[in-house]
Amino acid sequence: MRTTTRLGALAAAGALVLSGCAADNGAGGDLTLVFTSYGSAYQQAQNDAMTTPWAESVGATVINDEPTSYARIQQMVDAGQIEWDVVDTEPFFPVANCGTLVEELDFTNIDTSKFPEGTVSPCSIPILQYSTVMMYNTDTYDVAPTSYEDFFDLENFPGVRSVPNWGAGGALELALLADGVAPESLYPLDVDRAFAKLDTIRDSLVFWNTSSESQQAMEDGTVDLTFVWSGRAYEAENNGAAFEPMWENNLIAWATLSIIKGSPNLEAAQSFIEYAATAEPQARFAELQPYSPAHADAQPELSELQQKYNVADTAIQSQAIVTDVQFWADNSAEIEELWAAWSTS
Amino acid sequence: MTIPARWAVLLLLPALAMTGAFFLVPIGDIIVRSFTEPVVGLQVYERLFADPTTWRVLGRTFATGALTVLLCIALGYPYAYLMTLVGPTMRTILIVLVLVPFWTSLMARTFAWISLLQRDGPVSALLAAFGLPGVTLLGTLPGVLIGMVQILLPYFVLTVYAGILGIDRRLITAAMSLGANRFRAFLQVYLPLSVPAVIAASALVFILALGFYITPQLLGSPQESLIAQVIGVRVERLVDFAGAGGLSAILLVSTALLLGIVGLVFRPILRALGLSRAEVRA
Repeated sequence: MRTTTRLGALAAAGALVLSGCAADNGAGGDLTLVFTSYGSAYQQAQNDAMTTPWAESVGATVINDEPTSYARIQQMVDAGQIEWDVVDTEPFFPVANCGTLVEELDFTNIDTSKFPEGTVSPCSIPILQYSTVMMYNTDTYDVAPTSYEDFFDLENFPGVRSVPNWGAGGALELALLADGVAPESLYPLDVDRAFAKLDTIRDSLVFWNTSSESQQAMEDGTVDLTFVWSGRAYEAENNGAAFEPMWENNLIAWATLSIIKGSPNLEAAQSFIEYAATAEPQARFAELQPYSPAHADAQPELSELQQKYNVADTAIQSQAIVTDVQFWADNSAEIEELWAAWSTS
Repeated sequence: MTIPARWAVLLLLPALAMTGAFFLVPIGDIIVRSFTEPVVGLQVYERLFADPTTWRVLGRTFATGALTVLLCIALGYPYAYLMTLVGPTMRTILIVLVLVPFWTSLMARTFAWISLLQRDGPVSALLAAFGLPGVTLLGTLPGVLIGMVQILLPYFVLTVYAGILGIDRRLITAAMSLGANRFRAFLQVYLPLSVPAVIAASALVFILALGFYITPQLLGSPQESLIAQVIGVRVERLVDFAGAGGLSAILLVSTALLLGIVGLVFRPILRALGLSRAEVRA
């Protein structure tokens, strides 16, 4: 190759590489936000209902990432390289790490009275509610189970049971309530008692690690009694699964948004959280995904099946137990180790 | 054109740099963390060694790996031997049969096994037809082994095949001409010569099996959890990097010890089989 041609090729290659390096800001102005959630249809709905309308109203660009990973958040903060701004997490995470891994929020423009008690923390706001609810296979059982005690009743309700495979998944609360603990005295959890109760059905017990597995099991009919998220129960019934909910003592939980500590886009993140804390976006989200809004004024238009699994409905709320987020924030690490030891033996 | 030795070393530099930067540094970092968080000392290891889960899961991981190796030997050795006996067309077919699962996505295969092994699935029905009703293999050790063996068998077969390809078949003919029948010739001539290849393949399959995560997670219950899953929980759920580093270091050291012990045990066995020092080392 002649020198000039070689130099020309090199220059062209260099230009191509450099153009890739230039950050693409799109149509937005100076505001950028990196939003991280759990991906797929869930995050898509969050984009349709929340991030895209917000971005359009303030002229910002939103970059999506997934899935939320506590390990990555820890790593980012340790290294000082914050790649995520706003993240959707389980409620205990911002409570346990307020000020260390997530920023404290500015509540001047957020009306916290509209959210259920115990769902707001100095570092997070709730954006949706869901419940962990007991579901039973209508093909297996002619008589419907009516309480958590039936979940542990192998004589009258034989069959395969399924619970979430981590300590905070709800299985411990399920076991204690079935063992006769009153909802008011549920927390702090008597973990040993819960494990002992679960051991009574250990041979018939299987575990689910991801919510997709729990949904698949219902659709395939490979379990008879299961303890799943209400959103997945909706999806399964929508796909024809023969399962019905038993709402007594369902465990209400919620998803929260928080800002990673040291986020380079603090202004944009705060603005987005203020937007997501209002009724409209939460209602829009509830219409797209089988989760209920956390905001009291949100009035989503729901189909009959969606209304059936709408945990914000008073009929369900009156039977619900609210997960004690502070307890889990304080004890999650220890209980997860105990759960790992118990489940793997 | 021959390259002087010192220039040859330079050619190694890119590979060494990559291995160093993307492998040694991150692993070194996480192992160093296990000795320095929260304070410099062995507290992470004290905690891990005192926890019965560590020993139970580690033992289970080695046992599962060993079972996988045994199953691979039972299924893979005859297959590899067959590959040396047949003509070129049949051999190509056999190689393709081994490689096609190899090329298929791990996730696709594992999910296919979930479908097959689940309650009231095809395998359950098949077992019922053979007089074993109501058996579900999903969430049991046999289920996990089925998945692991299917994934690791191509590694085993190809490694053994590559090894035994070099065995001169005329040795068997020679043995038979000296009076041995076919079986004796195979047992006393061919089999001992193929042992180094089998050992190499077994070591490969064993080490790969130790790191399995997705397959036991999806096909097994928590009672079949292997060490990689426990490390995963420690990283993702507990965000305990030091503990994860500690477990990884424990795994690394115990694997090295185990292979060292196996090597020491096998040396006299191989010598007894009549293999020379040089072949044993191969």
